[in-house]
Amino acid sequence: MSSSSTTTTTTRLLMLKASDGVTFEVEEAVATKLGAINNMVEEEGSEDLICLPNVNGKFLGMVLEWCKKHANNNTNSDKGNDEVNKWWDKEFVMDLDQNTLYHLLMAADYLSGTELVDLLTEKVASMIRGKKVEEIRETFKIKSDFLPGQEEEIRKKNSWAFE
Amino acid sequence: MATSDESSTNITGHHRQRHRSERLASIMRKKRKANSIDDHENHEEFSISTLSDDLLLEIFLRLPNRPTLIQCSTVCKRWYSLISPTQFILNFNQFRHNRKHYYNPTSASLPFEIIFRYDQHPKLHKLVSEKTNQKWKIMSTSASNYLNCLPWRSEFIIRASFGDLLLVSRRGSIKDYCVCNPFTNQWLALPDYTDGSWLQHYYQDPTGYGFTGESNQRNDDITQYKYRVTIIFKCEFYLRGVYTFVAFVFCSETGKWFKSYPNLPHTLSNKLERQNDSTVIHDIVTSNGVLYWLGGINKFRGIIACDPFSMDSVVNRLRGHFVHFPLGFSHGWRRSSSKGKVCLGVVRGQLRLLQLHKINQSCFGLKVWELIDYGDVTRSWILVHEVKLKGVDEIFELAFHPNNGDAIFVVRDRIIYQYEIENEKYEKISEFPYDDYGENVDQERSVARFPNVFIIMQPLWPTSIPELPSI
Repeated sequence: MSSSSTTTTTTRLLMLKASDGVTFEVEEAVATKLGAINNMVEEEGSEDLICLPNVNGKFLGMVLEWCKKHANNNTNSDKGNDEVNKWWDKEFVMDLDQNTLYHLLMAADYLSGTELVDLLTEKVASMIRGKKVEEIRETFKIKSDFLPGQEEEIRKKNSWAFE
Repeated sequence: MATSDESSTNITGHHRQRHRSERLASIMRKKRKANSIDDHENHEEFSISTLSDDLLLEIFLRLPNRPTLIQCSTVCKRWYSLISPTQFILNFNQFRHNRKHYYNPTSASLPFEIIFRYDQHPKLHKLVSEKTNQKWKIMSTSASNYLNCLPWRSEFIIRASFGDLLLVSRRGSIKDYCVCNPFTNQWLALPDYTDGSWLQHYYQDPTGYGFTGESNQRNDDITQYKYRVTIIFKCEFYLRGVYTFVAFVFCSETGKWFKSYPNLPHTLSNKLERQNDSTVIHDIVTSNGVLYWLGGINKFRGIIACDPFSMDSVVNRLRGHFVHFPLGFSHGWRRSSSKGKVCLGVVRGQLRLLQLHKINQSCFGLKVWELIDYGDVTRSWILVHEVKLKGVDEIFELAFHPNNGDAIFVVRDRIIYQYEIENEKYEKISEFPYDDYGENVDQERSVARFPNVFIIMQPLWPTSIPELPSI
């Protein structure tokens, strides 16, 4: 299906409508980077307007921006593009605040953008890595809800992990 | 979190333009419109707790190692419930299963280490793969450094491995055995198996050791890991068509040893020359819960299979059987000391047999078979590889690659390689540490030139050794 996107002459445009009514006009080759949209296009065929009631316009815009970069970089199958994509991905996630990060992650998940989910979950994982439990709680503003002693017990049982 | 929620709606409220026109014809890129009802919801402040379980798991699955995961499990109850051993592994398996298309199946195979050492030498060598680029490297250390958690001051000897667990014994003692997990440093001293009057006649070194854990496929109850340690003595072929040995089996559920004299029929009688030749066994491995080893008198005669989990309650004996070598296995020269030329191993859980035989001065033939159908009646070998290794003066196999059926680890001209059989590709790993052992010193005892090899798999979650049941 999406292989037709490589023939640059025909660029079908799709209309994506976010939950807040904001609409985006995007090339099919860009939007079908998202599995959910790819499925809809394949199933519904002619329908050009796609409503996405679970995604806010601000974040849909960012998701599409990511798709566009990747779609563009993938058209010319140069090996250097991998590097470009990687560099661009790095830029993309570098300064995201947590709120945006989770909004994007849920949007990407909802739209089955597996590559983007991969990138964003990797980003969250990188925020956990190398931190102590207290630092993790601080970073993510999580309060411990263990009963007194419970946490100690888990730690004791797995003491090897805390050395 | 609730307070920041309010403030964010205030700020965005000011910026909002309240256009109502919804005419799709006039669509322009990124034209912002707002729906006042959605306002609040859309700009809700999200935190990591907003994420679904699936997304949180996706994140946890990207953490680098198990200690990090364990630490994360103590952050809060929800994280704990997602990461606690049983649930996480189930989730993980489910997750991988659902995303089969997304994950490269080979990258999902578990990491492992190959440990080898010589009986008489304090040093121990580990082949480990570097996580990032899949390159192998060798690490040498003294055995006592490797497992410094053990309760013994004196040196120990690795006897067997299964999964991520090792069976070790104390040098110079015939009754001190420990099961330990080198990743978590957990250990358990096994009770003395020489208890009572059992062992008067067996005051000698055992012939071999087996370690069998229950298959890790079913993870319903990981906390109660079941295993058997088997110590084997006095293997003998009898002309009347039986193979006998004495087995002491430690049962993890009862915390006790039991003794068995298995009696396995074989059909080699007419081929056995002299009965009083020394009986040998090599390469005790575990596949599908069954122990297999090479057995023979001077020469390897076949493979003995014995299931330490199954006991014939009528005669109080372990069940087992004799497995003939496949057709095409070359019988000419295989001396029992030819370790590394005839090898048993386990690849993706299935038993494999390898044979290297010299064709001429600079060429070896390599054959690998896999045993299929583990029913008691029908078993058959399939030949999975048959190649010639040209331009090779001397070679022996160090170990099978436990996850990749096309790769073996070999030592050729003093170099350890990972060899891809079908591509005929050698990937150099390191020098083989001959020097430590005074290769020439042990000339007569050619066995000493070949190290004892143990493979340790790193499961998703380290196996926890159950305590001895209180009696």
